[in-house]
Amino acid sequence: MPLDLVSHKHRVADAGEAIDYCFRQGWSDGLPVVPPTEERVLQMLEAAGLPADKEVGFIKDREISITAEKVAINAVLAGCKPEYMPVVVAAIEGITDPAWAYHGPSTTTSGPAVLIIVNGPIARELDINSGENLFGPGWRANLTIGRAVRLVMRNVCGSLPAVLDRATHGHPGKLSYVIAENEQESPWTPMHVDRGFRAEQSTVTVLAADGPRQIFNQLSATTEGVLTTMADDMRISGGVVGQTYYVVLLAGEHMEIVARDGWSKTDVKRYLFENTMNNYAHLRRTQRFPMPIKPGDETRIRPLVSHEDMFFILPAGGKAGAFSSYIPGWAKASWSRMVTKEIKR
Amino acid sequence: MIELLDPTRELRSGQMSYAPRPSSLKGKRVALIENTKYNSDRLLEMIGEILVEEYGVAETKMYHKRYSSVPAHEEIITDVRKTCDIMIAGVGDCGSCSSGSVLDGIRLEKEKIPSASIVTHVFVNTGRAMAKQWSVPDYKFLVMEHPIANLPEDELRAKARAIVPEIVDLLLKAPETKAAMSMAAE
Repeated sequence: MPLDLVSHKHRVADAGEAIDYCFRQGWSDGLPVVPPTEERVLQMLEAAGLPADKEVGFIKDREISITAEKVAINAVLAGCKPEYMPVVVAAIEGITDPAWAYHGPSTTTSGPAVLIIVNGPIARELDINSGENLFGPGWRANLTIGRAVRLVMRNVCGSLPAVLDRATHGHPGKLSYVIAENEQESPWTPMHVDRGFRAEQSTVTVLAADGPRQIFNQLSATTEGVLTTMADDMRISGGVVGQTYYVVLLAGEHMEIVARDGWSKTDVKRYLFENTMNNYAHLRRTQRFPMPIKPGDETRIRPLVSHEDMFFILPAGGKAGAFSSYIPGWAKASWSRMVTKEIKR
Repeated sequence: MIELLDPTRELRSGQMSYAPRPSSLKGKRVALIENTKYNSDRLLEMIGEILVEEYGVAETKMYHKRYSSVPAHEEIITDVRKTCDIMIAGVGDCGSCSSGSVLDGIRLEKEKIPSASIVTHVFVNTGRAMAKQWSVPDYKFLVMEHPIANLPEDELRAKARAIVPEIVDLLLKAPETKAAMSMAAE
């Protein structure tokens, strides 16, 4: 396997100086990085079984070819263990897929991050968190895999904040936004199986997404009660009129109620679809659509999503607490598709 | 002493090669590529009207992108190449659409169609970064004051009126590249 590295080499005095040097070169997201030495980069490539010159992704609108070598260097910077490299590679394959349409979601003022959902056995092997503190700190895999993807976007694709990443606000998920589904305790088939993979395969799903929004309901003992709160909160969320994707994350106590009631994913999706509709008059009055209000607008319905299958229902989050979350996708679903790639090992 | 591997794309800088310019716009067919942002089509229409009335342009043809965050799709590029002599793109008033309009200009100059891309002033560095990504850091595009999406008709028309001379200048006279300047010096 050819592992000859072609990247330019920068000489520095020692490891301490290297961290400052990386900051000065503009290679960091604002946190200290691990110095990308040849030895560490080669370990990354070996763990993924990739030659250095292998093209992992190509972005037509930028004429950018992303090689395994550059992915490996950025994975080192991010603090990944070598065994995380196949996950990072699959995520890069995802965001460079023409269906994900890199230019829009990476450059837009609306500031989505790359939500990365890991499914299959690798999630357990690498200890990718699917439970308590789902989006929080404490798990190296969750924090460094997403960080590596963002550093590739920054260093290889030119998606620099305030330059080719014009997010007005963005959100903290742009540092890293990696979760796993709680497949072990789920009453349902996992997401990757729904999307055509086998349960024993491991996959990465990438979605250009807003930040998570948490809902609270400790009064309900029924699924309908829990979902009433969820739907009411979702109705005016994300871009509202864009009709994007939604990832709905049901955590411990809520998930137990839904499982006990025997609701299928389709039942949940249908309930949310039917209970998140808006009427045109309201959307015009609140300046989501242009005024004036036309005859019939009070009863003319705009669904939040184009179809109930644009809701993705996943068990994830801690066991304790009457909280669940949902994540709106970016803009319109047709502008940037959710993409799932197999993690090759 | 330790050695660090460069994590960046290690871009090389090239020179923009502009399409040959006509001596006037008289009788030319002008493509207007609007990016679907609110007021973009109206502004380009107004620019087109002025070019027809005052510069003898034969006709204008409006193209609509699929949505604002993408470059013009292949069918647009092919049709412009076949049926138009000149192209004007815009108006980039957001992150992904401003850089998208700059890209449309670069692509069509490569197809030998003299082009003018317009972005709003808060996105100048984004347009410039896109040009760098295409290894043509000195590519010239035009800048209009931000915003345009919420402007009434009369203010929009004033903006169109103000930028037309710059458009005409860019379409009739290619900016001097460093290579051309050094050749002239010799």
